[in-house]
Order: sequence, then structure tokens, then C-alpha cells
Amino acid sequence: MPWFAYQSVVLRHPSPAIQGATRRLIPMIVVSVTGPGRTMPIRFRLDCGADDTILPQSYAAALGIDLTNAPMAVAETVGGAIIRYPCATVTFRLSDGIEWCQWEAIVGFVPGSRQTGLAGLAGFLDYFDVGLLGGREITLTPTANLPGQSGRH
Amino acid sequence: MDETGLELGTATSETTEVAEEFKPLYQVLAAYARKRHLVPLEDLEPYRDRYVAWDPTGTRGIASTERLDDLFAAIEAAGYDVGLCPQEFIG
Repeated sequence: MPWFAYQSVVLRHPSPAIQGATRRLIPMIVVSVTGPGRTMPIRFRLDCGADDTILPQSYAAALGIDLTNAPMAVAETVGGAIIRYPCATVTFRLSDGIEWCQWEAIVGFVPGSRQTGLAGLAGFLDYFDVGLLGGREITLTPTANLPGQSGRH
Repeated sequence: MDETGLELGTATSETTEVAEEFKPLYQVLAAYARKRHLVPLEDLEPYRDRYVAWDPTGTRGIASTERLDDLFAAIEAAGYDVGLCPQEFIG
């Protein structure tokens, strides 16, 4: 199963939830995203609180995706705000150097200040048995639901 | 199969050889997976609030910009292929 390490980040403010620490480990991985015009390796945060898989909208043009007339999704954020965003199909690829996976997914392109891709349930986490091991390691085991291919290098 | 009707914990839908054209890309993904988490946080301090691109070996930042839209040109200006340079936002 593909294996990844959590990534350490510096917090802007000490977090009481982690005894005032200013650093924390986050489950983030780089996944290659292919659109009609280009492929780019982009970092995503694994987020089972996200119903959909999301990218900052700036990536759409860079990937060659025309969002004119794209189907619109509607979602409620954790703060209660309602947002609408266009969706398009991309191809994802990931690898830990031992195993690889490739699949197609419909992702949302959210405008505004969101800086990191979110690997949500639809299009991503639903296709794997996900292990978040001790807050330090990630395993992603593709299931029969994966709409694509996988293998060993 | 559980009550949701989903197959859980089973083999993937199709297992094949990786296509030759994608081998360099998979090498980049693997290098990032193995090395990125080893980068000391102190080394990332100059990149706070910026988008960063890493070289294909996952060991060195080769471009950083305040706006994502500017990152792609910065990668190319540094002499790298945008498709082989992992990108992230350093918050």
C-alpha cells in the first residue's frame, strides 16, 4: 500500500488543543493532477470533512480547464457559509516509489483565498482504505471502487 | 460488501504496468514522498505565506511567489518543467 509521512507546519498562533504548541503534523501528500492542457504535481491535505475534492481556482486555467458552463456544486463550509464552485474532471496520479495509482475524478475549483488542495471524500478518499497511523504516517490502499488503475513499479 | 453496498478492502479495479511516459512523473512523486517531510521547518521560514515549487528531486525550493498565478512562470524561468515540480503553499 502506498505510504506517506505527515508534514510538519508552523502555526500562526499556539494551539490549546496541542498544549500550546506552535507546530503540528498534518496529513498532506503531493498528487499529480492532469487536465486537458498540463500535468502538475500539487499538494493536497487529506480531509475527510470535505465532501468533495477541491483545488484553488487558479489551477483551472493552468491545467487548461475551461470552467465556462461547468456544472456548479453547492457546499456549506464549517463556518456555515454557503459557497458555489464549478467542477471539472481531472486525472490523479500518486506514488510512493513502490506502488502507483491513477484515476479520474470530478473536482471543484474554489475561488478566493484557499491555498491548498483538499483531498475530500468524493473523487479521492472514497477510493481508498485510508490509514492515519499515530498522527505521523499515511497509508492509502486502493479499493475496488478506484475508477482507474494501480500497480507496483 | 457492507450495508452501503461498497466493496471494502478488496483489490483495485485494474492492475497494470505503469506507462513509460509517466515514469518520470512517478519518480518525482516518489522523491517528494520520501524527502519532503525531512525538510527542517526552519528552512521553510523564508517561504511563509508563499507558493513554493520544489525541484524534481524533492530536496530544494526552486521558485516561490506570493500569487499562485505567478508560480508557473517562475518555475519555467528557473529552467524547470512545471509538470515535474511539486507545488505547495507554505502557511
